[in-house]
Amino acid sequence: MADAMQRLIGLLRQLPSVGEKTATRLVFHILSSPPDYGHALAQAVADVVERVHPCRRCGNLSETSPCSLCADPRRDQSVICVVEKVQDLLAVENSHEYRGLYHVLGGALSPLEGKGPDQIRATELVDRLGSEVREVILATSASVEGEATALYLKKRIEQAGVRVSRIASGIPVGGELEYIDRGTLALALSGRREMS
Amino acid sequence: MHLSQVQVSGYRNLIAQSIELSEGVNLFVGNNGQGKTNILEAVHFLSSLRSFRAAAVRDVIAHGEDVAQLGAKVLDDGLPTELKLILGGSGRRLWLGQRSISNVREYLGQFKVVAFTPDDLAMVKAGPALRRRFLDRAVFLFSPAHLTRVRQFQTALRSRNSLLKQRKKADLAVIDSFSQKMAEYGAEVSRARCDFVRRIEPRAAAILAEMEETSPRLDLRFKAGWQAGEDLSQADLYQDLCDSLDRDLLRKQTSHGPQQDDFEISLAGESARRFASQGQQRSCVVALLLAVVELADAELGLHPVILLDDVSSELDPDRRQQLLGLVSKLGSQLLITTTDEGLVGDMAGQVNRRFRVYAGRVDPL
Repeated sequence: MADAMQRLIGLLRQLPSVGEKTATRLVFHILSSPPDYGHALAQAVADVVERVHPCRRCGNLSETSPCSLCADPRRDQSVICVVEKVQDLLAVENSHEYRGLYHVLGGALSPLEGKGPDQIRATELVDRLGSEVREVILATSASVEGEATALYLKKRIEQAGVRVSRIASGIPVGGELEYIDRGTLALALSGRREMS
Repeated sequence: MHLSQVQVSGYRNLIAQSIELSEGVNLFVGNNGQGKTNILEAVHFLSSLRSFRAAAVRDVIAHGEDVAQLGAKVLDDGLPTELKLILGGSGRRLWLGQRSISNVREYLGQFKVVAFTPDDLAMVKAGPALRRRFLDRAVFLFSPAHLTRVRQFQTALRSRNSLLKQRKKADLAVIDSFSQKMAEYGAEVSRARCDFVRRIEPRAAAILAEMEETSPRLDLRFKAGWQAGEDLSQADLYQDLCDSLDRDLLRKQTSHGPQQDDFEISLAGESARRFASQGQQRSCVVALLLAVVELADAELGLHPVILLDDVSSELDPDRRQQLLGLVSKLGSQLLITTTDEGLVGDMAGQVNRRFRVYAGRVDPL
């Protein structure tokens, strides 16, 4: 096999869930496509690496800094939704339920992985809490680390005199009660609210 | 309910085969290293999706194979259910009959097992870790969510310990966050264990009395590994973690918590660990095991398949006799392994089907 092909296969294999076989198939596919496709792919990869960077305010990935979400004057500047990853931000954004600002931590507190407050942009978050911000929504995951992160951030944000809320956990829409595990059900019960 | 058939392929040293099991007692005879325990482990995997030997999935896939395939036919009042399980490759895949199952909880309800190994027989005199393991497995039988809670608790505990060990100045606010989570999950774990000890005690005592007429009364007492009040509350555990923080920082380890939970087994008020003979200790353990099975019947209407790995040879003939008698009275199916050829003859009257296990092959005798 040509050296250039070997090299590309080796690089593709480093991608998540791509093995030797898949990588080889992808390379043959690229070679059998019109040359324009290969050039466009290479250029797109280069552009992503060159142009996309974390927004220095919220940590969202963007070609501009501040990012388009931070720069949008129509968004509610008084609420910040805190998430672990950019993927989580996109998930919240796709719900179309939220029109405030974001803060991407880049992970959760994880002593086992050596991640402390300095690695999750905690101070950057507290620094954003000016007079305009009235509420911070903690949307970290429901894992042990995500929960501990929420508890930690709560203390620091409350010191700054800002209201803190946590997204509700519980029963998924369309979920059957009998298949919900006890822990989730207990959370859903303790977090119940009056019907409107 | 019983298992009528088990199929294995690509599993440890077992050759691809189908094993027809009988109701009642199934005895597997063979030398060490031939695959007896692997059969019990495969059944355990089919039931609970994990090994009783704390093995990872890649350990159970036979050398040179990509996946291990397990199958079982369960008969419940004559109604068959077929389970299939593929381990390895792109993860784990489950089937009930022809239907691919994505919800693990739906799969887990099909049939339950209680496993019992020589380690367990040493439970009375061994360290508390074995007794906690026994408790957690038994609680899991009644409430599968217990396993999740134990894992969450352990993650919180390991995180807290890792923070205590850090050389740089500890961030107390971060430690506190993990202490809070540890208290939340941990108190629930301790409560489940304590509650289980209470439920099982009268049954274990009655079974022991039945096994040994002269035996003194068996008592079980749960001992929380932390400063717990009557209700084992999250608030009390959190308070204990806060109170022990200074010492924990010095020792670089969490000193109190459910990781120290234990339960004491006593006979006529005396610690069985210190005062009972080895034979009496083993009878206590057998009584505990049978009490679990009896409780599963009483509370869940469930007859778990009992897996006894190399245990019968550790019991003297009288105790073995009693164990088998009580098991058959409970109506549970039993899978026993032994290296002792003599047992085949000794147990002839009580065994419904016998198998010889040699080099990964299982043949009915």
